[in-house]
Amino acid sequence: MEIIKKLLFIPILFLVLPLDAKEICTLTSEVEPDVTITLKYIGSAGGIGTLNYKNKPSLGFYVGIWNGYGGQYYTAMSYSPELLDEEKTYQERTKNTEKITTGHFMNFVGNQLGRATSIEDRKSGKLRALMPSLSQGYYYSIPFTKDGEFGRQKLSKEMKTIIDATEGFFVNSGGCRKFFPYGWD
Amino acid sequence: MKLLLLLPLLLGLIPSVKADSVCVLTSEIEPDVTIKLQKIKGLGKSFGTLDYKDKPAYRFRTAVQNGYWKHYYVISELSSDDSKKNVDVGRFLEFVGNQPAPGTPKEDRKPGKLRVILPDMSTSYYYHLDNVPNEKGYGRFNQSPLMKSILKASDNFFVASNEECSNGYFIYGGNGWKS
Repeated sequence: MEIIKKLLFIPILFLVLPLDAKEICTLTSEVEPDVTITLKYIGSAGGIGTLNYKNKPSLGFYVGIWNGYGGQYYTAMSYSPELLDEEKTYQERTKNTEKITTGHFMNFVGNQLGRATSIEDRKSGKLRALMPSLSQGYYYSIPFTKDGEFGRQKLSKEMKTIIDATEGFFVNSGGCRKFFPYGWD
Repeated sequence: MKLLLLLPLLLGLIPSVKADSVCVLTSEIEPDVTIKLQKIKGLGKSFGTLDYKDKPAYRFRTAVQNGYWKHYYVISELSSDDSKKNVDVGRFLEFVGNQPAPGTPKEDRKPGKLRVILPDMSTSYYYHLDNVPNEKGYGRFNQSPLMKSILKASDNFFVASNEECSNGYFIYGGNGWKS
């Protein structure tokens, strides 16, 4: 009887796991698929998460929206496990991180710019993001090479892959619609 | 007499030579807004103007930063002589067709039009406009047709409108990756 009860629970477990995965937005680099950005939505077209290399966090990542003229921005920061602690406030989550760079998080739909394309010219397409200042910001966050270790003059495979990835587009691999306020379906 | 016969030919040739040495980038969404550049010595270096209806509205120049080799632009007031009057400094992000030129691996490159996007310009230009209206009543919250067009154009792509743009103005896009 006990075994039957457990067996009845198994389908429920399968139901719970996909729901949790659905809450995460995954953006995958088009040129370097080993580099992804995973974000948990916190409201106002923004969220907190990480930039990952081979599914392991390399940087902390935040996406938000600017007041005034508008537009969306990202902030890349050093990684701290506290960043993903949803029980804490934003200040608590980021207090042990160091900001690397911030800049435009440009929304594209296919090859069209989300913000600048008139309604009548819009074509459906994949949601894609371009962050034109991220590669340079990341590059300058890498310390100078010392004693034969990896550094700015001697990039590791991970560093080089992240630089190459951040020069190109990231595409929505699932769960990112809310992060594209200038996009369309 | 011979000189007189040659005169129309000479007069006809001189302006066309001048026009050919200017790279024209035209806004894809606001064709009245163009960037006209002349190449100067140095990698990715050029200078010129951002024009509205063929009249210069701002100075515009490009150069390359050492280190990461970022191709950047500087837009400033026509009257300015110093960097304090810069409207914006930002990345001159080159595209070939729909591919970002610095970020596309060689094996994936497809030939296409040379295009550029100036990602920071619209925000900077918007905040550069005075919130107190000028003598004609125009400002950040009551934009003139020129201001509106430049703002709209700077949120979108500019496309190379002549062959001159293939001559070293795009350091990553080159000639549009044509072999």
